[in-house]
Amino acid sequence: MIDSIRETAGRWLGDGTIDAFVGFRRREDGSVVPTRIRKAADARRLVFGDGCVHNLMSYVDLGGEEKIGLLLKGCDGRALVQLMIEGEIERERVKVLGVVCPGLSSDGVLEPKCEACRVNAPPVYDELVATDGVEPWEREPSLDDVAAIESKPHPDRAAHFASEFDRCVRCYACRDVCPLCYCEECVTEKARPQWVEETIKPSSNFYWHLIRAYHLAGRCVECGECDRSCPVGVPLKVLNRKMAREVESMFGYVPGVDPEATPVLLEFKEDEEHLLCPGGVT
Amino acid sequence: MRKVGVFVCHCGTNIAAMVDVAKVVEESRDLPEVVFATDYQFTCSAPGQDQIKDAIREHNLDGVVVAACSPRMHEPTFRNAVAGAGLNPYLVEMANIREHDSWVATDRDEATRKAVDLVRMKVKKVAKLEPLEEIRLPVTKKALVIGGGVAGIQAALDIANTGIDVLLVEKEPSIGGHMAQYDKTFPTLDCASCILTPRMVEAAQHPRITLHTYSEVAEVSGFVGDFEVKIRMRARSIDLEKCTGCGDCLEKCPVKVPSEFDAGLADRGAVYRPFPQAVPNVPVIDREHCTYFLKDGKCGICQKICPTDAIDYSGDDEIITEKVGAIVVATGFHFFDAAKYTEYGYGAYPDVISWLQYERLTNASGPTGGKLKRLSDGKEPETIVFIHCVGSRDPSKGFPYCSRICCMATAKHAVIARSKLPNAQIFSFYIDIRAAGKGYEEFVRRAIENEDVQFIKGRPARVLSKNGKLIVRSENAFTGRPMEVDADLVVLTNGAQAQDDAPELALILGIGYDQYGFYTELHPKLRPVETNRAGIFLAGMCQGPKDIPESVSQASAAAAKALQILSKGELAREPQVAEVNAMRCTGCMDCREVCFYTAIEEDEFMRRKVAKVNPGVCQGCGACVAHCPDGALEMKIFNDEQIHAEITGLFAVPSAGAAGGGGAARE
Repeated sequence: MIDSIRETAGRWLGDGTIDAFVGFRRREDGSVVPTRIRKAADARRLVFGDGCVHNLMSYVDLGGEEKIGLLLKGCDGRALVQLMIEGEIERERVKVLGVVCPGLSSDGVLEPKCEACRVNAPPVYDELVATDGVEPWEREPSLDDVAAIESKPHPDRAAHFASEFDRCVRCYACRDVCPLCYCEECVTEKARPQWVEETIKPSSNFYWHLIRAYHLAGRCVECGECDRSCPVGVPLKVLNRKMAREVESMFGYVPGVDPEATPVLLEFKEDEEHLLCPGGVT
Repeated sequence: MRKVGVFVCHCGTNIAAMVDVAKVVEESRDLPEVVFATDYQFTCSAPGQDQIKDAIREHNLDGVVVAACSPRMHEPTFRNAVAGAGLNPYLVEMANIREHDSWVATDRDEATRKAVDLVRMKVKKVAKLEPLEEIRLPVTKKALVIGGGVAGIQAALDIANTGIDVLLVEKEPSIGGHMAQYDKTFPTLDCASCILTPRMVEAAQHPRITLHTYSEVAEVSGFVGDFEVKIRMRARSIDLEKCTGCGDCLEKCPVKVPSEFDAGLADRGAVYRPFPQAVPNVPVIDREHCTYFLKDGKCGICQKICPTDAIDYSGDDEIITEKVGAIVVATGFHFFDAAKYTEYGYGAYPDVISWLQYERLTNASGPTGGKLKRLSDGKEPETIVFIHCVGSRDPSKGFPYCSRICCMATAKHAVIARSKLPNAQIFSFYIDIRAAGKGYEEFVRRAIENEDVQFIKGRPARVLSKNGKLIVRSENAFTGRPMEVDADLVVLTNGAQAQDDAPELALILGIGYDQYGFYTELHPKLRPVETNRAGIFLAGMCQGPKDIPESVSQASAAAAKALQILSKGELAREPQVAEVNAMRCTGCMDCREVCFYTAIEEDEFMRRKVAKVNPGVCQGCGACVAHCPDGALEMKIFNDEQIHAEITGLFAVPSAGAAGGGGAARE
């Protein structure tokens, strides 16, 4: 498997199909990190396996002109598809080397983001690397984390999130790592007027996370990178997954799966069932 | 800092009765931006406007807040007033303390406090306003009139007679509309054709009018003064130039189709013209019924006998593109399908007929040559019953409105029946008689008193057929008892309905329509012929039921409105348009998808794709602003900073001294 990843990346770089390839390499301490290589010779350093949790779509400069090769898992591939749907990237700009992801573990335990996996291979790719004993599949992911939140009464939910948001240090790692958080100027950076206060305090923390959750509604592909990157463990994945369920129940829309889809907020049906009364909200 | 003046209007007692106007003035004086504040009974009146102008000059104001009504009506008034004193007209804001406050409030103290808040919000917003310049756009001096009935013809003639070109588009093979089908018109009983056909000819021969019959509007883009219209000209199959209208083809066509013009009482061929006086006089080939088209080139008789070689089976529908500056919509109506009243037996009993069938039966040029007879056995009816309100004023059938013309039409029908059958018994069952119009009541009285028509207040429950007679069962509201009439002929006065495709055309035109499909005027009283889309006007039945004189008046009104645009070389447009902040734009172009007016174009900024608004096309609806995921679009006069100023203005200073516990809610 690793051999075919190295072979393909090397071939694409060698024949000039791409200018750069984004994949993973192992550091001397044994940890795995994302890497961008530009020479075919460097392809021999590429690896894949446990630890390769990062969503490599975060490393694509959407406004750039370079042609980029990408090693994409299912979750990363959904981000690419959603970005294509939103008109932020042309399919031709990237060469996709898809992997049929076996699910990633850390110390023998499945990564939390893998529990929410919906599709284990990217929906679009140019070449697909097989993994021994793993077939490509699509499934309805477990919703245990969302169900746990929904089982609480509304005031308890609010209190729960208020206390979780309270320790946010507003480093914006969640925003910066998110492949779908691509505004040229974030609402937090706007000064005239300043909608969101930048200081760390409960009310502005709450406001920031709610704005982000709403901005990702119908767009988040549940890759879990926000959750994983948070230095203080704010449970952002469950918040975004809850929003995704709301959108799915109202409009039957799952982001990042169908490259021909229209963004859910860009579509309007005259007989829209949930136009005036959002049903299904619990 | 801006120097803002505040002008609080009493609106007579509309505002002053519920809001302490003096207190609003006094409190607004405490705001640092406010250098002048006053009140007046009617700020929109000439002295009221002078008050504003004087204050601008005297106090050097560079911002004005008028606390009065909704901006819908009087924002232009105050913009003009401000401009009259030399201040940029876009530095004025209205605080709506009438609709949003005095009219809905029940407590004077609360209402006053709210008025103070609303004024403070607007003062803060005015401080953030920027002077704007009007957008000037050239005008295409040509009009499009959709629909060639009496209203469309009138509008086309009125516009063309000022020397401006008109395109008159009609769906049917001939202009004329429903009026061409009628026998006579109320209340004067002059013959419909005699007054209409000369108008039809005048329109067709007018050097400024281009007629497109058998054609439909397929697409409208652009904006007031510069619309681009695509017109689908259905394949007529007969050359308009070569055909002399001799009618030989009509005689020989082997196909028989019920004639729409004669309401199904006679047949027409597949090649046909609706009626002998059709304009243009050139027939069309109805391809859905023509043997040549249905059976792969078999038949072709009309082509063989045509003396001028005008018949061409090969042509397809053609789409032409035209530029126009204004559009008049006069697409008319259709009659309610009387068969929906199964209780009256229309369609089941041949002698239960509709309004239009009755018109054709009494018309001298109709299928019976004007002889009023039963369709079943050709006998003259001895007893005739007219039933009003079939498909009108009947919520159970989904048509609660009054069709407005049927009472008079029925009176007309009854008087015509009397003139043809002096000895017949004539009944007219009605709910109420609505005869408001010049000479209308007198005409109904004439039918009752001079023509011996028995008007009976009551809505018939059923029409049954028994031994060759039609039994009309009804209540009689005067006696309070049920009654029955043995009739030979029953005429159902079916109401007026919006055209079936009215909503489709509304989407093409971008105009509104009500729950019945009638097009919506911009203001029911003061802007009765304008629509929500600037440059598109309404005439006739498409806007709601009305009779011929009303339709014609409205057509002339629509023409006058269109001419207000077409008579100018260029138009001034308000500059409240959307604007892209290219720094923030990510180029997703969602704005282009949501823009109804095709105002969004692609542009490049710092070597990347961004959106750009064409200010000449933008109508300032704000759809793109609301949608933009990146907050890159802003509306002039409603930009984030201005709205933020309003919001912080609301929460900045709790108004003191007002009663009630509102203070706690506004921390």
